Amino acid sequence: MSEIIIGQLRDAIVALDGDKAREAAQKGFDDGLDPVDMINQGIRSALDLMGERFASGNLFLPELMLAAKAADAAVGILEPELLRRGGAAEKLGKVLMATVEGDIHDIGKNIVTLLMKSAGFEVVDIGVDKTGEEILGAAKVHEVEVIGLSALLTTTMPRMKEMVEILQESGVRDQYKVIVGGAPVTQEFADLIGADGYGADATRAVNVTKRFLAR
Amino acid sequence: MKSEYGLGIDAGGTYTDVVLVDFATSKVVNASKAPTTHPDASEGIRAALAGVGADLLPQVRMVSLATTFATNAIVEDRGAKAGLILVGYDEVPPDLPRSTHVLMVEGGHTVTGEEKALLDLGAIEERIDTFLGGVDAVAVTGFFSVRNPEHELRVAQLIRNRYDLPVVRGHRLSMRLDAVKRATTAWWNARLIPLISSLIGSTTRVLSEKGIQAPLMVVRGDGSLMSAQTALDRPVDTLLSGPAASILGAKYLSGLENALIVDMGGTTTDMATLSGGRVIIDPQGAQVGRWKTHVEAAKVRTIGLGGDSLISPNGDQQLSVGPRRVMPLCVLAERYSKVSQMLRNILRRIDKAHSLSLNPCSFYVIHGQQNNGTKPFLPGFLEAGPVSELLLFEDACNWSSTLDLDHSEKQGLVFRSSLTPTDIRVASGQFSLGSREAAQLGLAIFARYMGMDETSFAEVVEEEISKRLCVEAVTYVGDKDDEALSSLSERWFLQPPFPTNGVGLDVQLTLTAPVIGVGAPAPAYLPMTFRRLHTECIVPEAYEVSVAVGAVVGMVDITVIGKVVPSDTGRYYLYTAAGKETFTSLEQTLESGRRLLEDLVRERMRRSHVAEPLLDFLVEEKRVKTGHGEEIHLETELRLRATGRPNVWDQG
Repeated sequence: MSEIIIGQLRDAIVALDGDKAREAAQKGFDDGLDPVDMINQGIRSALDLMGERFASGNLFLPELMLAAKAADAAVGILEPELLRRGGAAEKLGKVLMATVEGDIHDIGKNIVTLLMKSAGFEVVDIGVDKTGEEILGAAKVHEVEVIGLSALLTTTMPRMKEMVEILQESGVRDQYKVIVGGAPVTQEFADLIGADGYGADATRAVNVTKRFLAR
Repeated sequence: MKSEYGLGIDAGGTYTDVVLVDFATSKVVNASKAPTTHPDASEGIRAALAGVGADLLPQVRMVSLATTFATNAIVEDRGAKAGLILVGYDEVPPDLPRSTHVLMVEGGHTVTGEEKALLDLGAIEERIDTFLGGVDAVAVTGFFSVRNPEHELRVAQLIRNRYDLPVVRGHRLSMRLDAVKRATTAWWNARLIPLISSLIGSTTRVLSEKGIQAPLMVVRGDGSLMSAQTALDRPVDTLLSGPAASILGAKYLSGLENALIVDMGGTTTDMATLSGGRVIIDPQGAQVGRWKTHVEAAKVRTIGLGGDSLISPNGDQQLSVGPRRVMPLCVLAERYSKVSQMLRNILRRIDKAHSLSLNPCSFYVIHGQQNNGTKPFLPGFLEAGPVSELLLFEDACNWSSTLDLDHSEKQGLVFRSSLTPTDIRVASGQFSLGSREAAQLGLAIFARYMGMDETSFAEVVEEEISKRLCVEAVTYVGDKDDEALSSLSERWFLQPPFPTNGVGLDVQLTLTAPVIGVGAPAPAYLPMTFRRLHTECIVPEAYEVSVAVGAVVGMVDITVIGKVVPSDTGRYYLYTAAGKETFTSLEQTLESGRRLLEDLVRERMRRSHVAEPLLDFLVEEKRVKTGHGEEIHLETELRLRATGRPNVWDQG
C-alpha cells in the first residue's frame, strides 16, 4: 500500500503536477505513512531524477523549477506532522542552514531543515544565496553548533570550500561543525575541503548532525 | 686533512652548554657548561667557552645557537612593548590580553583576496604618533592578508617612512589561515625582537673575542637553521628551538632515523618523534603556555617531571613526584651551610608520621639578595636563611604564616627546596652535585617519615617516575584523545596489579621503534622506564648535551607555499607571500607560481648562507568528481622546499 502512494507522489513530481503531489502526500498522511519515508523515497528520489535529467540536458530549467514547486507543495502537507514529532522531543542542539552564495535553490535545504526540526534540532534557516560573511555572522548571532551548507550548482561548490576557509581565518573553525550537501556534493568533495560531515541525503544529514551533537 | 669543527651553543634558562663537534668523525670532541647570565648572556657563554680547548676554536667553521629564551619569555609573559595594528578585524582577538596596545583599522581582504573594505590610511596617520609612543616594535596583520598582503604592506611602509622601528608583517611569518593566530604570532615576534637581538649581540661579541670567524646560525622550532640576521627578523621562529635541537642531537648521536625521543631535564621531560630522519611537526603550530601560534615547530609533549621535581608524601606509603620544580637539597646545602645541621636535627627527632600531609624536608628561602628597593612583605624569620616547613608547623605561632609563604612562592618572592630525584642519585653516589651529606640526610629523613628503609624508598621513587613516564609515552605515541588507551595504561601502570585466582591477566604494550634518552637524568630513569614497555632505550654517550649537538648538525630547510584557485570567470588566481596575481591559463599560473616561489625561497636561503639549495617542487592538484558526474578543479597547492647546509666551508 505504502509503495503505491509513494510511487504516486514521485510520479506527480516527475509530471510537474503540484496538485497531484499534494493529493498523494495528503493520502499518505491520512493512511499514517511515515512522512520521512515519503520525503526520502518519494520526493527526494523524484528530485534526484529530475536533477539528473537537467544535468544531462534532457530537462529545461523552468521544468526543473516546476518539479521543485510540486515537491514544495507535498512537503507543505507533511510539515506539520514532522514538526509535531520534533517538538515533542527535547532540543538536541542548534543548527544553521543556508544555501551558498550564487545559488538560489532551496528545496534540498528546506527538506533538510524540516527533517532536522522533526529530529528535534533547533534550526535557523537563513535562506538562499548567502555569502560566507553572512553565514558566519548569523552563526555567531544565533550561537549555533552546526552549519549546514547546501548547493545545487557545480559552480557554487567552491563557496563551500571558501566557507571553511573563512571559519579558519576568523579563528573559529573548531567552534562549528560544517556539514555539506546537495546534488553535486560528494563525500570526496566534503573531505577535500575539510568539512566535518556530508549529508548524502536529508536523513543522512540529520544522522551526521546527531552524531556531532551527541552528548 | 685538517679537522673542521662546529660549535653548538645551547643557551638555556639556567645553564649554557657548548659542544665542539668534529664534522669529519661525527664525534663530540669537547663539551662544557656554565650558568646562564641574565640579562646579558655573554658572560655565561664566555665562561662555557672557557671549558672548550681554545686552540681548536679558530678551526670552527660554523656556530649555531639553540635557545629557550623566547619560549621562557612567552611562558613568563616577558617581552618588549609592541604595538599591534589590526587591519579589517571585527574585534581584538579574545586570546590577546586586554592591556595589548592595539590599533584597529578599516580594511582587510576577502577569502579570494578582494578588498573587503578600503584601507583607512587616514585613520592611521591621525593616530600613529600617539600610538607608537614608547613602543619598541610594531606588528601589522590584516584579515586574509595571506590572500592579499597589500594592506599590511602599505601600513608597514607608512610606519617605515617615518619611524626607525622594527615592523613585523603577519603574512611574512606564516601563510596559514587564522587571523587570530597570525596576530598572536606577529605580536610576539615584535615583542621578542629586542631579547633575541641582545642574545645574538652577546654571542657575536664573545665569538669575535675568541677569534671565531664562522657565521652564526640560530635553530628554529622545527630543528632547521636560520642565519642570525634572519633570526633578528623572525625571533618567534626560535620557539621550541631547544626541544627541536635536542631531537636532532639525539638523532645524530644515535644514528637512528625512527625513534621516540625522550629528553629528561631538571623541570620537565619532553617527548617528540623522529620519523624517517625528520622531526615530526605539530600541524596546529607551536603552542607555548596559553599562546597558540603559527610557528612551525616540533610536536612536543611536555610532562612536569624531571630531576628536580618535588617529591611529596601522598597518603600511606604513597608519594608523588612533580609537577613542581624545587631546588635540590644538595644544592641548597652548598649555598647555606646551616642546612645540613638543620637536617641532622630533623633526622634525630623524625618518626613515622601519623598524617602524611606534611613534607618533612621542605625549606622556604627568600629569593636572591638583589631585591633591594621595595621590600616585599614577608615574615621576619625568613631573613635568617632557609626555614624548615616541619619546624614551622611545630611552632604553632608561625604555622599560619606558611599559608602566606605558599602565596609568596607563587609570586616568586620565596622559593622552595626539598628532596628531589637528583638528591637520591647524589646520595647514592651515582651523580655528583653540591653536598652529598645533605642529600643523604634528606633521603634518610623522608624514608623514616614514610616508615621505609632508604633503599626501598629510593625504589618507590624510581618506580613512581618510570610508571608515570610509561603512561605519558603510551598516550603520546597513541593518541592523547584516545580515552580507552589512556585509561588502560593508567590502570595497568599506576594501579595495583589485577587480582589473580589461578588465572591472571597480563598486559604487554610495546613501542614499535626504539627510544633515545637524553638529558642529565636520562641514564638513571629512562632505560628502566622503557623496560616496562619492552622497548629498547638508547642513551648515547653525549646524552647531556644533545641540544648543543643538535644545534650544530642541522641544516637550513625552508618550505614556501602558494595556492592556485580557478575563478568563476575562467581565470586563475595565484596567492603567494608576494601577493595575489591573476592569469588566464593554468600553465601560465603554475609557471609563474614556481618562478615566484623560487625567487622567494632562494632569497631566504641566501640570507641564511645557502647559495645553492636543493629544491623540491611539489604540485598537488585538488580535483574532484561531482555528483553530476563532471570533474571540477578546486585548487592547486604549490610547495617548494629548499634545503642546504650553510655555505661556510670555503671561508676563514
